[in-house]
Amino acid sequence: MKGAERGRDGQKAAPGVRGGSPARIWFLAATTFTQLLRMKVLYFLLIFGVLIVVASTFNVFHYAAEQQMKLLKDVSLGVMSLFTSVVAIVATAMLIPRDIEDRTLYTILAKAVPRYDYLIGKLLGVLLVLAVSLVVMDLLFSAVLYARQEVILQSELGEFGEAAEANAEAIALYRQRVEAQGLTWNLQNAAVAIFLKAGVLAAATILVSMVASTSLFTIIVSFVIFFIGHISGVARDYWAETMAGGVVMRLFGNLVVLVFPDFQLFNVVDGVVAGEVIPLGAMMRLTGLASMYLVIYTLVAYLIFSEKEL
Amino acid sequence: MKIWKRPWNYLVAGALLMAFGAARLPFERSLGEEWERLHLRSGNVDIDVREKLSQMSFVAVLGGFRSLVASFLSLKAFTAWSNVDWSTVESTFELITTLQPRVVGYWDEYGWHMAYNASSYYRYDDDQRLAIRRYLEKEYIEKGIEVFREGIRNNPEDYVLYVRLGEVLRVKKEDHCGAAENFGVAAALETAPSYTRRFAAYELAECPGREREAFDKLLDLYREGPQHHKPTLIQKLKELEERLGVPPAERVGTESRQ
Repeated sequence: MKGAERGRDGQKAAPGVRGGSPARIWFLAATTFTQLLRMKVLYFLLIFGVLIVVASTFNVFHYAAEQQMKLLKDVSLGVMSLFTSVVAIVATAMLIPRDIEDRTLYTILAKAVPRYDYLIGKLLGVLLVLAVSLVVMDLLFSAVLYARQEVILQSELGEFGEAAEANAEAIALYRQRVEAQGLTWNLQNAAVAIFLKAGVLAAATILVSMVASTSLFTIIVSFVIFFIGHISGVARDYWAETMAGGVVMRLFGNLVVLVFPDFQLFNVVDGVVAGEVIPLGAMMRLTGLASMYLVIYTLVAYLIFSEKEL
Repeated sequence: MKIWKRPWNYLVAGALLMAFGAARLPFERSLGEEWERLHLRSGNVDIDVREKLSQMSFVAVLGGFRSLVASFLSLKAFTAWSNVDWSTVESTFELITTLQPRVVGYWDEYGWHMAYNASSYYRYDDDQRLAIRRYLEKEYIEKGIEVFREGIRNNPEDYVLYVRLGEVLRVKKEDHCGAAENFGVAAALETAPSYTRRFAAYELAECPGREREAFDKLLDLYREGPQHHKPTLIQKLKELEERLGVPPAERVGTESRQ
């Protein structure tokens, strides 16, 4: 129905109210962002700060410079990935039930806000929180990694002293290897991939919250999706290679692969930490895939939400 | 139930989800292949790895924290090394390198522990009989060599492990021909430092039957410039000149060797 949308209990919204208004969606996103900030979901940034500082000072004496920095990158990117995934699930799962509990949802929908504007606004709000928190963590991580890299270079290269000129090649080689493991633009690809994964997870959580009756149920199911999404690729390969389990198991496997997202595709952190470079084209393809997940999951969520009795 | 008041939307939603799943599969498969080509996709966790990991570590590996688990396992290996518990060092590094086969540093450290630390420990282990000590020393040197070879199979484009393999063949096995071959492969790689070329030539000089080839390589390096005028290179040249009976007129001038 063009230009109008069903309101509460499936009734039509006021005539002339158009869906998909960017201003309205942005307002809802900004409100959601503020709502999440008030729920103190960003407190984990403090924990991240402490962890990264501790990790940066953690130095087993036998560790080579590259390994020291690998440990710092592992801890930082691992915690970034974990925190954003948890926030994507928990914050999203609490949004709509909280709106129902506070009766905010009824007020919004009574003002003839189309339901898909509401859904998109909520999802954008969560994505905004995820993006802001990731940017803060990434900046902190980058600063600490760069500082660590410089400290290592200065202390190690300083030992050459007057022999530096005679060992110019060795010094250049050492600097090259340390810098390759230090702060590079390629590391930002890992942060982007973490954001994309968290975005898909948030969209999946919104979809689950459309059929769930409580936040707890949504959180549990979303964590199950998170887990299955990480092993679905493994299961698919296993079934494809072994033909094990008979027809029923294969059908079940195919169903899992069709319904659940493959989160392993977003796990590029391990490779990036090991020094593998992600070309821009590959990152664009990953972004495209994540965008498709967001669009389809939001659309499916809307189809359910549009008929939901509130 | 009210939820089924209008079931069509649920059916459409389900169908859309399935259709999207079917449509994205070829794209995801091709992206997965690209990730494999770029070494961004780690291999699947097989039964052997599962049995060696704790439940939490296994879940962490599946959840995308493979690199983090490998880092913490390396701390465990460090503790085992401090306690000269070589079997734990070995099994832990085996797990680490299975989880992260593209991190050269892990292969380097694993091979170093086996070929040098563990082998030396058993060489001087007074609790064992001489025959057992020699057997264990040899065994760990072979393990170290195999670790470097496996590391090279996983990282053929990195010069470091070729150099390490060359070193262990030279130091522990006195296999100068094998060492020369590995230093030579390292030297041919784009990122290799210049010393790998000298090392390849030094080892070739000790490889029976290849003295002339070694002499030509050393001479080329010497003529390339003063950056190669190292004491070892000059000494090897001098030795080969004697051994090959190079006429005095063709020998590198005494003054230019200084």
